[in-house]
Amino acid sequence: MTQTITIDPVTRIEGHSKITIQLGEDGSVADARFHVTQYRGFEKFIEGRPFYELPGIMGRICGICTISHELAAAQACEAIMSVRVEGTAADLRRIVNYASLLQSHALSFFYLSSPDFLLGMESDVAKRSIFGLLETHPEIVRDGVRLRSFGQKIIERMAGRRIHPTWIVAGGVSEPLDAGVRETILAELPEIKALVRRSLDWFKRAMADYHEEARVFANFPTLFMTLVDEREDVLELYRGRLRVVDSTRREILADFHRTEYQDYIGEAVEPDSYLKSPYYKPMGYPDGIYRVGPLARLNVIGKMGTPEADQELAEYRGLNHLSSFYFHYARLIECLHAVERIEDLLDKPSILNPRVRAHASANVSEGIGVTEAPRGTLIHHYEVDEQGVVTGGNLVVATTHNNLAMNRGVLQVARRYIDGENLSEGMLNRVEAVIRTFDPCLSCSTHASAQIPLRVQLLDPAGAVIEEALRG
Amino acid sequence: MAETLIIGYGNPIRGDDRLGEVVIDHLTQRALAADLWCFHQLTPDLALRLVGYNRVVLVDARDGSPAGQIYTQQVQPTRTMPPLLHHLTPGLLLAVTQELYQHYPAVMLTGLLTTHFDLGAPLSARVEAALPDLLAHITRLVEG
Repeated sequence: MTQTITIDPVTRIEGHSKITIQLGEDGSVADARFHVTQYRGFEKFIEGRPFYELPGIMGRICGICTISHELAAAQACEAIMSVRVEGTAADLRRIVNYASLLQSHALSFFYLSSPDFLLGMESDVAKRSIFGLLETHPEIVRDGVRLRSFGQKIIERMAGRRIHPTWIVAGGVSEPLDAGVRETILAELPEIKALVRRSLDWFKRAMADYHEEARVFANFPTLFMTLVDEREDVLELYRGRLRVVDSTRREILADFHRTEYQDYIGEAVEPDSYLKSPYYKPMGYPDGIYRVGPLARLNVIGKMGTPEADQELAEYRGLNHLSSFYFHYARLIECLHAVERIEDLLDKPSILNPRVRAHASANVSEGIGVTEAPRGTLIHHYEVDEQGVVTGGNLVVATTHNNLAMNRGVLQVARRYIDGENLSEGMLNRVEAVIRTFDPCLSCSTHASAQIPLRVQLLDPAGAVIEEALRG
Repeated sequence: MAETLIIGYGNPIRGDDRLGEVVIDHLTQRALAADLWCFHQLTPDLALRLVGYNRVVLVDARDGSPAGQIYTQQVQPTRTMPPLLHHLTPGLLLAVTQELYQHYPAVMLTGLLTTHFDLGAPLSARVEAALPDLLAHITRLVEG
């Protein structure tokens, strides 16, 4: 008799999603799917708005990735204006982008995933959260809170507020950097770097206990994609060329300008999810499966471009680069890189230059902006009429790029851990944990704790409930 | 740094839930001996913001009636877990502050009762009418 297990909702991510696991006649896992069951609709309701409003509107997509959406939107607007933002304005945007990465990675690593590493995948679900860590590992919670707060405060200090600031505008930024803010941030950097270094140290030790998870957490060959610097083979999160490498990470399959993205990226739609399923077009669907985000970035680039992060990258190179479990490690390496880059950028004499904005009207009818959000490559594509009013839009958000890989990862973990005869919460947590490695951002944020109600049902082929488990 | 921190919180596009933001906007016009902040919701990282203040006043609209009535309560630390990590209760925020930083501020929660939280709605007439009394009440809490 076949059965279906449904995990609904998936916890410690936010947004409405569920996982269904189909069991075969013998109780083994035959199939598993990750379904995103909510709908936002920003591509549609920007139609009719003046293009220069888009950074402000699109930032509202998310309370965590606000800066990423604003940057991608602003770049697309600047393409419409035929303006390229360089110099101080670009550097200020980069600093805020690194700050955004720090606060987002801190949320994913410390708040959402560290309870699994520190308390165990099968530990008491009532305590498996950041609040449970207050009792056992308060020093790590303090580090998580501090790192997230540091990133948010940079955004607040430079852009006016930590969520949905309106400082990033089409043509640059609205205000130059205050000298006092620069000094304040520089003074805090040594403490933050030390925090990231000790987080790397304990996580590298903890990884030794997770060999099996590393073996089966979305560990399979895929392509990898990210932005790279326009001139050098180094990590570039703000603006650059798009690059796709093969699963060995040694062969570059494509290296292209953002305006060519539709030649390389197809967008399939599945009937059971509002999340699109992008694929690498030359290989077709679904063979063109690829991954984006911290793991992909480290797999594609030659160097991080900062000394301490490059040392860590050398260590990372010794691991199995196909396992999504190492997304977590890659996130911490990126945090180290971000701290180093913020320091470099703030040390530039030109960073206090007051000329930070260009003005222009719509000069062309189409604009594409691409940036690396904390979770991966983010594409905003707009079309406007002669007055600059938006007539169409397309978004390819980081989480969508990873949809095929997340689905395959859920299946891989379910096949390893799910036993149709003896369901346990720990088995289900691992199925959710593979999703958390990708840190999906389904709507505005990703932080439902383990206390949220979870219902698991075993159904017979006719849909009747055979067994039901509730938690929360 | 003042001795008192006032935090207004709530969703600014959900009717009376923007009360916290409105109160902070009004208080910025007054010479009050307090630092002022405004957030959409209480999150774990706000614990760091509380460090250094002896007294904290949280301002929020609360679901209840009669609409426009002022409520005030002393916040006690609680370990009750929230369903969502990004939505702490005042008691849990205080508990996190105490446990992580060994800092023990006196925290008051105040605001207005209301049932109007519709998406895109403005402040309701009753909450609007009660706003001057609430501002005077908060001023007394800070200066008293």
